[in-house]
Amino acid sequence: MPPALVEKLLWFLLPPACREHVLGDLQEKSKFPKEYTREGFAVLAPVIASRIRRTTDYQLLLIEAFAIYLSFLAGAWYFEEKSFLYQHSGFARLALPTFIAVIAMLVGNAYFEPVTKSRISPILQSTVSLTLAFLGQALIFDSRPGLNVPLGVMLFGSGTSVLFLSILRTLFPPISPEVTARRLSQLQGTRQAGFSSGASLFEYIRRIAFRYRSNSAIAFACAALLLAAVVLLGVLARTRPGG
Amino acid sequence: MPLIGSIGQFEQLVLAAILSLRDHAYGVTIHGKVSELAQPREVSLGAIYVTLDRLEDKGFVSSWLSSPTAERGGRAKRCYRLEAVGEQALQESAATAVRISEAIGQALGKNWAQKWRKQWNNELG
Repeated sequence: MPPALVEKLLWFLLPPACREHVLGDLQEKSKFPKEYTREGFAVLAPVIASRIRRTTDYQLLLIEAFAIYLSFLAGAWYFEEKSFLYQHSGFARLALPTFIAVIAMLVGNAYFEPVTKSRISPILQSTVSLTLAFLGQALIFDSRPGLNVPLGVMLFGSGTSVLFLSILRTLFPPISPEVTARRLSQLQGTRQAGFSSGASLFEYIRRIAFRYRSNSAIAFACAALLLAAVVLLGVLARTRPGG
Repeated sequence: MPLIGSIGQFEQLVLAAILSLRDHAYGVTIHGKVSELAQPREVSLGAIYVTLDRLEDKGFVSSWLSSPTAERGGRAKRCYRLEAVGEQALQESAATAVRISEAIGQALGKNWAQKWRKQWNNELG
């Protein structure tokens, strides 16, 4: 019998898609509790790393990083003096919350539950990632004030990032082998039966996005995002007090 | 027959293990077979999972969850099957291995494999 505490800990730490067979293999292979513990923790890092590799879409990740950075940049442009960007290493400081949020999204993809995925999961995942970026800022608030991003910029950037990321994640959900297989089979059914009249516009857009998921679709999304950001910056520049 | 992209030595071992295990290829049995083939090297279970994932992404193997069994605490096995592309990749690497073996045989004589095995066994004590 495996040690209950170790088994629970491994169950919690392993990505949902790997839990079932990895824990089963460990139980079948290990004869003693110590062996189970040793093997279990040895397996953990490679399994998580492999899952992250499999669920990462590098093109999408780049667009997400770009969207987050642009959101923080728009916040800095509006709420701070220009000296923040040009004289106080603002461009570099904005990269820190972006980096934390991107890493959180990356790890989040690996723990993305393929079976119980709901429509709010893109919003939830984006919010959690940006919350972690906030926590990162809180941790360095006292120790490294030179790396801090002002609160107003963080709030604006995080809000806009959640909006952008939710849209991107809804249209281009993270790739996982299970989801891809299910979507492909759905797509086969759609090709045969056509889109049902009861399908919502949201579902229709998502199917189109999945069907034409290619470099050009990603480039289109990127261009749309950039356009939205430029419009946002333009509106902000006009409405800025004294601007 | 079009050539498949090259595969690494460890991937060859895993593919060979899946081929020989046929319907009983899952994490534990694959690990056992690969450990046997890779002697005297030790193989970790984590390395097997990583390689299986990579091979599945390349389309060389496919997997499915079987029904749960009591000896595994009621948990299912992830079983693996060699796909046609995987079999072709294994064929190509096996053919290359034979050519290498022949080349060494021409250079060192017929009993080179036994000599090297004896040498390794002596080194390992």
